[in-house]
Amino acid sequence: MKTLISAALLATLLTLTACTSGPVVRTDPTDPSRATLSLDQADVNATASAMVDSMLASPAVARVADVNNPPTIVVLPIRLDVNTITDPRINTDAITTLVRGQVINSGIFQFVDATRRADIAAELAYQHESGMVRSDTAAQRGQQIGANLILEGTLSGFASDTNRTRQRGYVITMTLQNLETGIILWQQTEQVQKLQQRRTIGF
Amino acid sequence: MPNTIQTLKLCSVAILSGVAALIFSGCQAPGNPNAGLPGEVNIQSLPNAGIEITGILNADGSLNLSPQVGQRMGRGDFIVDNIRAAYTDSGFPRVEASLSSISRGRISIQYRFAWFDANGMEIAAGTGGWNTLSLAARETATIQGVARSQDAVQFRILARTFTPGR
Repeated sequence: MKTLISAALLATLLTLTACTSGPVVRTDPTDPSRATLSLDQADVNATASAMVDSMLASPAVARVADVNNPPTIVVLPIRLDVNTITDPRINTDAITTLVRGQVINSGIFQFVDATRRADIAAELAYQHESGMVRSDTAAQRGQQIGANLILEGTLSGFASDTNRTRQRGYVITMTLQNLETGIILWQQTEQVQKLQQRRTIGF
Repeated sequence: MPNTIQTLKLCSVAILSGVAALIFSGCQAPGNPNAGLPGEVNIQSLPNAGIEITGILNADGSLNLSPQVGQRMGRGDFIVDNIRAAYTDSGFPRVEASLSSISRGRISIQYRFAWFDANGMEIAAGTGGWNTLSLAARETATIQGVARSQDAVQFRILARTFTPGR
């Protein structure tokens, strides 16, 4: 009987130990050592960095860039090609945000964000129409800067599996276009490819 | 007998000094980007951590030839074949380094750039993440970094081989 109880206790202890999570540690979001098949944070960081490098090195961008009078870019969210990518965890906004942040800080462009227009309009309406804000401190309407250029992008993917491997590919393209003329000033494509060997035994 | 004790004491002091020297050399910050003259490129091996390339740009954005280019540093699987720099048309410093595998198999290399202004302050700290480069046996590839500010005059590249999943 004692042996039975001991065995049950041991089994319970082992089960509980297996379910226990370890301590949480902060890691480097750019470290690709522990890659997954998906487009992970390290890929997003590397892609954004390569996009900014390309933009800052582009002769066509240099022609329109002016530190003293920086052109204004409107940023549109990167379009996800849902026909080729079905993973809902892929965050395309992060690429745009990282690119925008690094280019803003370089000083050669200034940005307006198309996705925030409704919020800005709502805040202006509140300041002017609610009667709650002193009129001399309210932000003036009609003072926004019109963009000269538009930055947009697409993300599409590939998947090919064999008995031994699983492979995923991602193609991220960003384009900078003149709003008036429609001329594409800069375009850069970054490709990410992931390969995973299937295990013979295991999960 | 007193001679033996004296010898033991001397040995202890020597061992402790050696241990202290090893500890302090291990704690040293890798590469001071402020050290050196304009145009100078320095490549050094970081024990078990790859290599570090530091450099200071000339006024025209270029770099001088370095005698360490083409040399195997430490026990690494790759060498720096060439390194050059120039300003982009927008006026941002750009550095390119050619890395050549000396391995018989495919290797993965992680690398990251950091840029510093004339005072040695890092520019856009935290934005220069790790990038990955995959090289076939004996293959050469170029890595490139562009500074996020036109004020950048110094750079540091860390490059190391890594095994995915570790």
